[in-house]
Amino acid sequence: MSAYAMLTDTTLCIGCEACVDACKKVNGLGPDRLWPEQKAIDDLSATRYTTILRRPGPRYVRQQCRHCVDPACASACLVGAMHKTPEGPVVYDSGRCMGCRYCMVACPYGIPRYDWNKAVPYVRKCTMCYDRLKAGKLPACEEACPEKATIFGEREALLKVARQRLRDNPRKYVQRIYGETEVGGTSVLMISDIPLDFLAWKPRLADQPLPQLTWAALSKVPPVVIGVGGLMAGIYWVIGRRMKMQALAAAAAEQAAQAAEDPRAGEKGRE
Amino acid sequence: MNQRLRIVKSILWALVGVWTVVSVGRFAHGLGPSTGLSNAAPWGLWIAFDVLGGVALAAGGFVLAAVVYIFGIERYRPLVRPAILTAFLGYVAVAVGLVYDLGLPWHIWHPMIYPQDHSVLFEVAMCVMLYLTVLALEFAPVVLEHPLFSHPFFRGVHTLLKKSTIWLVIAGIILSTLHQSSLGSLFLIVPYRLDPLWYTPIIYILFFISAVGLGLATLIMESLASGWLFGHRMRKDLLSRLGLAASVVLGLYVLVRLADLARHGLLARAFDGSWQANLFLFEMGIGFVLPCILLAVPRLRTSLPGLATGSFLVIFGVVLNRFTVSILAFAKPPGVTYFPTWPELAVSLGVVSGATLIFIFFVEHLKVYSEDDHAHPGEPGYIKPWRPSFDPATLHGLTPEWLAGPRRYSLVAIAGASLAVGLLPRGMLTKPEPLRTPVARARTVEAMQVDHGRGKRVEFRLVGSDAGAPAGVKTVPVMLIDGDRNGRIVFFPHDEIAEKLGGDTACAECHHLNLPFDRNTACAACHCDMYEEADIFNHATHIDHLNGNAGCGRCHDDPSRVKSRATATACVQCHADMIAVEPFLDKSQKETMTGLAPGYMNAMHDLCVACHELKVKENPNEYPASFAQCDFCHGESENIDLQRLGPYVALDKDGANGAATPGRNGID
Amino acid sequence: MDLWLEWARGPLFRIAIAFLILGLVRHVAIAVFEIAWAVRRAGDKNIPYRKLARATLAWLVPAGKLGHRPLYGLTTLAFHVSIVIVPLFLGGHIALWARATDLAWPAIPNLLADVLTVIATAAAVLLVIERIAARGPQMLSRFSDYAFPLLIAVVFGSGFLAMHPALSPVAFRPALLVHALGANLILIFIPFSKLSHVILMPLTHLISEVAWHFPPHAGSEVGLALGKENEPV
Repeated sequence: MSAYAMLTDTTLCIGCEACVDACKKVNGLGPDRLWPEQKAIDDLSATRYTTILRRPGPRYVRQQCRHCVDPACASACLVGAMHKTPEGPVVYDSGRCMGCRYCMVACPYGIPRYDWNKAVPYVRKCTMCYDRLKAGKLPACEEACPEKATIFGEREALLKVARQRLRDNPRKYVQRIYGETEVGGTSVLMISDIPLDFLAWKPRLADQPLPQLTWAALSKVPPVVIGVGGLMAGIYWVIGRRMKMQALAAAAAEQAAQAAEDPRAGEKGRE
Repeated sequence: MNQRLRIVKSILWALVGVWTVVSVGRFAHGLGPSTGLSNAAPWGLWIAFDVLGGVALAAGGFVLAAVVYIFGIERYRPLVRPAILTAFLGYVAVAVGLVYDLGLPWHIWHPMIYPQDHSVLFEVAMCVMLYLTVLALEFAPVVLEHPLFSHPFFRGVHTLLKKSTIWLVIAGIILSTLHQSSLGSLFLIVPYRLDPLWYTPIIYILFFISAVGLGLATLIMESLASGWLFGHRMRKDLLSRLGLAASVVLGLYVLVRLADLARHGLLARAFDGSWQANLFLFEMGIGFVLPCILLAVPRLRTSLPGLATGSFLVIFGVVLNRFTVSILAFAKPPGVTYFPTWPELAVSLGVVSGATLIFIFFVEHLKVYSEDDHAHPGEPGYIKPWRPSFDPATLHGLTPEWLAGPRRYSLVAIAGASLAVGLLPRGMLTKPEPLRTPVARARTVEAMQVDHGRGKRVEFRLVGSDAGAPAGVKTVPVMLIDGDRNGRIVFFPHDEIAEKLGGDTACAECHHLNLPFDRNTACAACHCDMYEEADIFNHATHIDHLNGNAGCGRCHDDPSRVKSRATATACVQCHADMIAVEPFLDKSQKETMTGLAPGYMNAMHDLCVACHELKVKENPNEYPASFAQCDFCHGESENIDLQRLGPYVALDKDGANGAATPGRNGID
Repeated sequence: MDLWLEWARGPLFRIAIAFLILGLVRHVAIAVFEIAWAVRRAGDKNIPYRKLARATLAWLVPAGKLGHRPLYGLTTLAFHVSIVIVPLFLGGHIALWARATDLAWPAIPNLLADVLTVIATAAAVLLVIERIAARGPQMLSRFSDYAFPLLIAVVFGSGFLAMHPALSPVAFRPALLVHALGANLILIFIPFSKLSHVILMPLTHLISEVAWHFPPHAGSEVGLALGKENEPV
């Protein structure tokens, strides 16, 4: 089975926010309020897993978790609270989370949000309605979209659909499927008639999955343990031995000196 | 006890007092109200200083242990005990600081049961946990020397630990090497957020070298400070040798870093004058190159001021580097900044103060400095002199001398704590409240009206201020409703709608409440916050208008009841004319008006949407279903060229066109 | 003016109440250590609970004093009863607590509060007069012994005026400000001055009871400890 994915075509979006409403309803998120931790009330927040960004035009661009194929958040999480499911969604286990927020730091799209104003806070983000998927239902936002701007399916199939649309309307679309390859590919794909670079921290993300960068350092741990341990033990042994030898030599020299000074003392010692 | 130590301890205890109170607020109401953190800046002072800085500051322990135990350079042995103690307390402080930063600190042990070995943070967590244990075991013999632990069992443990010292030291060096460098590896995963002047694939090597340099500098600083505090003889010869070592390490750091920048072709970027480049030059110059030179010059290195300056600069430089990597050079969206709040600062300071007090306690009661040979309480032959002491608060009380310290320090601690209670931000005391969004009044402009026929939404196009409308096109006055001035405007043809509702007699349909001497008060005058309820009752104005004291009885008419908002007479009792006779809204509100106005958005929707829906229901022939849908009002608002609204926007910036915002000074 | 009021009722009051509570807790904690120390040194380890209770009660209900010095006893009783009940159980105060913390408890009727307030104010002034009139206390008195009753009188008086603006010669808000500032001052002073007797009264009895129970040969033991056992005391 190929993993599931979602494809959003921003040219079809009319900005009605039906997806936001459906998401709020399904996840029981309640009304938005303007907390100091966000810039606008309709930013992504702990009560808003997806939102519509308005760009000049007007263009409506949906923002949500991209469900990376090799997610940085999951590799960053030290207790495995974030993890990539075989079905495609990146989901969060609040029972494991310790609240270090390294996932928020690591995300190349700046997606995860935090319950800043709760005494028991959790990380909040889109789960691609993982529970609904398991129950054989579609993600709520996909179901709610009146224009079919967001569609759901297997990633390979959606990539084909996207390529077809880019081919059919080469002048309309930016000739790029956002999420096809960058940071190793994402499970939320986007095509658009305007560049969508503003959705990530840097305009051009490389194709290398981010977890590979930390693994490069992390894989050096066993050799470092053995190397440093061995080196320290070796130095200790060598220096310790040398000091012992020196002490012995010094003692011997002293004895010899004494013996030379007083030959009788040396004889006495031998007796 | 000397005066200096007493003053320092008093200050530390006061800071601990503040910290205690701030802790309660932090854990009662979450991270939001107590910190300046946000979704775009999820890591702040507690990570940069307490964790990244704290771990690096405590690096002196493993460096000196290696020097003395592995390399056998015995002359540094007098510094080992304070170094191990500093490292141990430093790591305890890191753990405590982390408890404040973690959202769910009671899960702090989860890495042990849910390991995720592809996470750098997992490696750091395990190393820190293990190293903390190693340090505790390394320091335990010093504690077990105390006469309190003279039982043979403790003696046995003591001997065992002494014998295993070398293995503990080697384990400590391995663990330190790993996590000091891995704290840098944490940032390998953010190539797109960390500025390229700091992001490098070998960031972990830089972190490790700078931690060694910082560890040496901290040893010097700590020796100087405790010498000053306790009046110990300072081993200047040892310290200046350490200074030289730090200078060499810093030199190595500078070389590696510059070589790495050159390899990535970024040297030019360091001089391009951007703030990142200037920050880089400042950090490298003041924090690394300058102390490297200072500590390399023998004359400076052997003088106390020179040593102090040099080691302080190293500490400043490396801690600044940790701040830069985790906060300053860490990308945030435009307009988002992070600045620590005072409670954040109070926690960091409090943790350090607490650790310092424990350090002082250990120095006073254990043989931390081996030359420290004054008699200890509990040792045989030691009789504590008994002198009366007085309570500094009440100046009476005849108490044993050992209570003099607690009396003094508890007093400064509660003074600090009380001040903190008074100054705590609102959200840390009571339930956090969201921000307010002041509402701007709607404004009226001339617009061209394009009618697309029945059921279609009526389009409006703004008339340019210079050109005016093309001849023959009908223009009407239309209100632009955009409470929070975010550019998403609803066109509201006020006069036309008034006409439809029945002309002059219809005002009250919508204007359900009018301020005195105002016929049709604008919505924004009371619904002055975009999303939140607003208090519109102005107590001060009422006092002034009702002749001061004589007027209280007008509203608080029952002297036997508590004077509060709940027991005051309803507004409508006096202001019959203020409230419209037949408002479209729920008429029962009239009697229970409490002076709380719903948010602007809710008020508009309650009024407009309710009426639109009613029209659709009552008269479906004239009003098709689309009349009650969002799109009918919130249509093509994005098309508006706001530049053409210049004067209005400018006025708004000066606040001259802003809404009336009644102050929240109700007395209830 | 409103800002000052908000400040006096908000941050300043929080500082004052925190200082009061923490300060009193500190007194109790230190007293506990003192008692432990005293008991350890005392020869007679029995703590005379009954005697202590009786002494404290006698201080709380000065029935004996009423007979001994009727005017003073009556004044001080009325004074103490009033200044404990009114601040804690005035409806307006409870409303403020409820607004800040959602905690509320039953209030006394406003009329009773008025009567007690007048009594407290009058009694405070009377106490000062009695202190000046009586020679013994006058010689022992310090500045604070006059200042505290007068401060309390000012606080209660201004509180009364704030409650009855119609009778008041001064405007409502200045009266309330004086009331709030004065009250905060008292709260802050309680752990710092003789006013700490609100918590220390029974503890003082306990300490003095226990601490002076030295064994019969305590004197020679002191000599022993000092290493002067053979010298005459």
